[in-house]
Order: sequence, then structure tokens, then C-alpha cells
Amino acid sequence: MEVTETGPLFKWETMLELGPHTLPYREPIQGKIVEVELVDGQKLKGFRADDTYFYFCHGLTFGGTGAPGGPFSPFSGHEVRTILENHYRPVEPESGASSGDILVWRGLDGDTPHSAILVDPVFRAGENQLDYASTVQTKNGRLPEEIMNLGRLTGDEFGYGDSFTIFRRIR
Amino acid sequence: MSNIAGSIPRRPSDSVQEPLTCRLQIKEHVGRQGLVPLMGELEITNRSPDAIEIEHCMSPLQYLELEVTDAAGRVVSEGHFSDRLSPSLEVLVLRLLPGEMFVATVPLLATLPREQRVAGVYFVRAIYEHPNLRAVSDPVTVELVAGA
Repeated sequence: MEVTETGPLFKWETMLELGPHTLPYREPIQGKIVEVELVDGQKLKGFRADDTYFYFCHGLTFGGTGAPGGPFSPFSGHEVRTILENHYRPVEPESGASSGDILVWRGLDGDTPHSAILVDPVFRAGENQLDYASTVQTKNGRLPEEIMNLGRLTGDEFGYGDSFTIFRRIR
Repeated sequence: MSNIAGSIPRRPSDSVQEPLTCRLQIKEHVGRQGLVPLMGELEITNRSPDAIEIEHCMSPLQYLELEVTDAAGRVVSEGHFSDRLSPSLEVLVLRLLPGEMFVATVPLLATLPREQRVAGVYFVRAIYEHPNLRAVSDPVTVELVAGA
């Protein structure tokens, strides 16, 4: 039986500030680009806000909120793909998903526009897809962290859509 | 928020238009469990004779605002559409050739908080505001029905 890895993903003692950075929201968020090593030694870039409170989805999903000195959020795209390719595997079919797995949305040009943690998976009898009644823990951009059902997250309020893949941490 | 790029034939009347135009319309959208209500389609079209490049590090939609007004004309939307997006480190470029359009599926009432959604008629305008370009759509009418 496969055992899900639950240990730290980052070596926080390797964290290094590379320089100032501004997230271009309508109300910009000031912070720094921070580099940190994954437990396998690969380096990864993310964002740390100057207020030491702000984080976005990938910070929540990959355990960056517990970083010493304030939350660390891996950037979308290349950084998230690096984590997935080296520490996660897709859960296929979706009916194999369990609490603690993560959902990562696919975007244009290899982007990973959103991610969330699966809290309570629900499946309809005879179907392999995750039901909209499933609940997820999610931090939508700069909006507050919430637990909500998948239908709300993919639907008419946030509009992330259905283009997600479920992943499980394996190392 | 799926999106695609495509091209449209130019029209004679286009010659006097703004370089970028924005169109919003209600669009039926089917998700994995059926019809998703209150969805729309956004079109951003390059009406200029030159290519337009839109740099972004979240999505081309990071410049989109969906302004919602109620039947009395009060603006009831809050925040900005980009609030829900997550940034990347790479800067990507959406390049629209003359006549080309960017199309995206968007939730029409995304900027109207759920707890403030009451039955009634709302009007939604898309405002696409890039540092050097601005385009505003005609409003679309959305009706929320009690208990729906």
C-alpha cells in the first residue's frame, strides 16, 4: 500500500532573499523573491510579503505558510511544476483521491493558476470523478483562506473551472 | 477561466474605433456536472492596424474588472477580478495581431460577494484596463432568482 509523504517539503534553513518584488494586484503587494531548497536539494523561488501575513494558493497547498519569518508562496508555473514533477504523482482515476491530496489547475503555457487541498472527497456511485460536493481548503489569490465545496470553487463565483488534476505527495 | 485566441474578419466601421475593444456576453457553460450558471464570455479584440502586446504574470485577465451595478444603478461589486489570481515569476506576453481576439470564459458575478447576492436584476460591465489601453464593454443583464 502506498504511503503518502507528509514530512516537510522545504529546507527552511536554506532560505535566501533575492530582492524586492511587487505582486501586480490592483492594490499591489510588496515583498521579496525568496529562494529555498526543496528537501531533494532543488532550488525554488517564491514570494514572501513584507507584511509577513500574505500568501497565495500555492503557499497554502505546499505547506509554505509555516515558514519561519512569514509565509512563503511558490510562484505559479515553473516553480509549481518543479514541485509536482519531483514530489507528487497524479491520482488517476480521481476516485482514488483521498483527504490530503491536492488539486492543481492547468492554465495557458504550462501555468498552474490555482491549487487547493482536498479535505473531504465525495464520489457519486459508479463515477470516477470527484463530485462538486467535495470540500477543499483554498486560498484564492489575495482573498481569504476558506473551506468550501468544489462546485463553488469551480463555478460562478471564482470561475477556476474543471481543468484540474489531483496529485498525491510521494516523496 | 479557460481562454483561447482566434481571429475575426475586420469590418469597415472598425477604422475609427479604439485600438482595443471589449465585449461581454452571456454564454452557456457546461462543467463536469452540467450547466454552470451565470457564466459569460469575454472578448478582447485588437482593432488597431498594429500588433498589441499585453504583458502579464498572472493571466491576461489580471487587467479585467467586472463592474456590477444593481437595478438602482449602485455599484455593488467589490475588489477586483485579479484578486483571485496567483502570480508567476515569468512575464508572459499575449500578442494580438490586427483583428485578433482573446476569448475567455468568466463568471459574470465574480466580483459580487456571495453574501450580497440577492434576487434581482444586475448589470455587468467588463472594463479591461492595461497600463496603456482601456476598453469597456456594453453591460449585460443578469437576473438572480430567489432560491435559485
